[in-house]
Amino acid sequence: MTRTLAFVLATTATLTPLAAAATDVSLRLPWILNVQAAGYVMALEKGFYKEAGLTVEIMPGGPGMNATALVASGANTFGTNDVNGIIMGANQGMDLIMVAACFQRHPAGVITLADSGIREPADLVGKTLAYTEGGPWTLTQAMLSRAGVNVADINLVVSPSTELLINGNVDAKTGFTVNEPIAVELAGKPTHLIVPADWGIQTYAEVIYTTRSFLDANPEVVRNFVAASIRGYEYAYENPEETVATVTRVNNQLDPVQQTEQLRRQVDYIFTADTEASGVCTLDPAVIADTMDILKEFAGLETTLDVADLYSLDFLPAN
Amino acid sequence: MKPDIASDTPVAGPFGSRLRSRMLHKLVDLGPALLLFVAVGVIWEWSVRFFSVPQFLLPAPSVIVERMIRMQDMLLQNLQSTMTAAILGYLLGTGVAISLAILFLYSRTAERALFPWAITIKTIPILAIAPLLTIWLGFGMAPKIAIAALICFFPTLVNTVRGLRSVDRQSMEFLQVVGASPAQTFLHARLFAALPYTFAAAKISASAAVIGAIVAEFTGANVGIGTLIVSAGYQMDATMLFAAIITSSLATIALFYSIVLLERLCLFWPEARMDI
Repeated sequence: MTRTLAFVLATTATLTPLAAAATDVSLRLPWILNVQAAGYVMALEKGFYKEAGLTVEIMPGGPGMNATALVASGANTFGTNDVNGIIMGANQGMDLIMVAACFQRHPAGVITLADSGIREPADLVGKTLAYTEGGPWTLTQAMLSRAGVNVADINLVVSPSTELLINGNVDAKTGFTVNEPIAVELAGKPTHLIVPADWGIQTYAEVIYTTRSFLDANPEVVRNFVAASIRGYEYAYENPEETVATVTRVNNQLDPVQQTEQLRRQVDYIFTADTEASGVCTLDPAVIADTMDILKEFAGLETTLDVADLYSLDFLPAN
Repeated sequence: MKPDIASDTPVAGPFGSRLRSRMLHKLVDLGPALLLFVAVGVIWEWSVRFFSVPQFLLPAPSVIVERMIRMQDMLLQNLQSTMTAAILGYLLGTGVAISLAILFLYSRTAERALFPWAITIKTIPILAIAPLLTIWLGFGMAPKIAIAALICFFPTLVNTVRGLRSVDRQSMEFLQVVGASPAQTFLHARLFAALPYTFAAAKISASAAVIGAIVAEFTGANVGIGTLIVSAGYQMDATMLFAAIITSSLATIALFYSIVLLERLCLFWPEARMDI
């Protein structure tokens, strides 16, 4: 009896410090929580983060919130965003570093109605295009330029509204092609998408990033977070129904029909030939360099940043 | 000619010293404000340096001013668009409000029917309705003017209604005794009673109208202070954000003081002057 008691006490004494060693981190999403964050939500839901010794709090972004600045200031540990945002932030002095790229392509592009006859960038000449300042517009400009189309030949209006497209006030609009067209199609109008990613404009729509100071101080935490997130991604896309159910439970303002369709469309942006070869969320420095060139040419970026300072390949699981 | 001993200007002094005295008075008036302004600027600048605050969180005043000077052409061009929309919207909103107030004065039924609508308009979140207005009214100035008008409509309506009814009892009784018509009552009593109230509302609405124009620009414009703010957000450029905000603030202050000046001209009788 005494020996058993001693054994139990000894085991508890040695295990307790280990159990209490789970690190508290926060993940700030770039937008309101939806299936774009499926990988992280499922990693949390299925306990992958817990197994990696992390207690993760997933916090939504939203309109008017600068998620990148929140991570850069240390208020949040990790963030996800597109490469444009990271480069612009770094250019303003934010101490950011990218460690994984889970959205291998960018779904931003031009959405038009199927019966408008607009099939490729050159077809936009003489038509009306609605845009707003942001990633989709920058990438669309790059696409138009590479396709030899002069932006001045297109009638541009500034508006974020999808209604304009549905009502026919404009011929096309820029936006995110994995979710906005769904609203249009649910209104009964088939769409056609012109995506810069299909026209040679390669950039990552979502990377995992943190601050360099956190990374230097906590490399294992970063490594574990990336690994667990990748497991979350793999699980989410193997179990779409469970994923949509979980996401819509966490954010009950979402429409499950729309989210299911969006999740389905996202597959092609996450699982590509590159990820087959190098693993999900793999990061290719050439893409980051390309993105910086696009920003310099089309978003007026003036910078002395060195691309090599903006990413690290050391935190992806060894393949 | 008897010298004006009661006034505080030097008696029989040359024109120069009267002017000097007025300028001295002006300086004394503005002194505390200027001093505080400079003090805030100095503390801000020093704090940013001392605490090494990153520029993307809070830029130092020196950085902001440098950017404003460097980008003055662009700032002024965008400011012009915003202020044009704001002023036109302000005139529209004020005009409609005053007309409605006069209508309410002569028709209680109209007031009971329409006032709830006025309140409803006031409670609509402008940022939510701005994209819709762009769809309904088209692109360009119209939605900006509409939103600026919507924002400044309510304060002016409420204040003018109050003001028109605020003629004191004695004056009203006098007008009744001398058999004044409603039109004469209006011109000789109500109008003047309402002016201080309307101007008070006008001062509030002026800045609201500028903000309305800027909010409209967030979602449906390609020129204006609002577009600069959106662009600064996309590029995470806090300096540009502050530069745009300060530019529009300065213009709004100028607009505010023009109304104060107009108020001084219109409210020329002694009792009205007491609180200005």
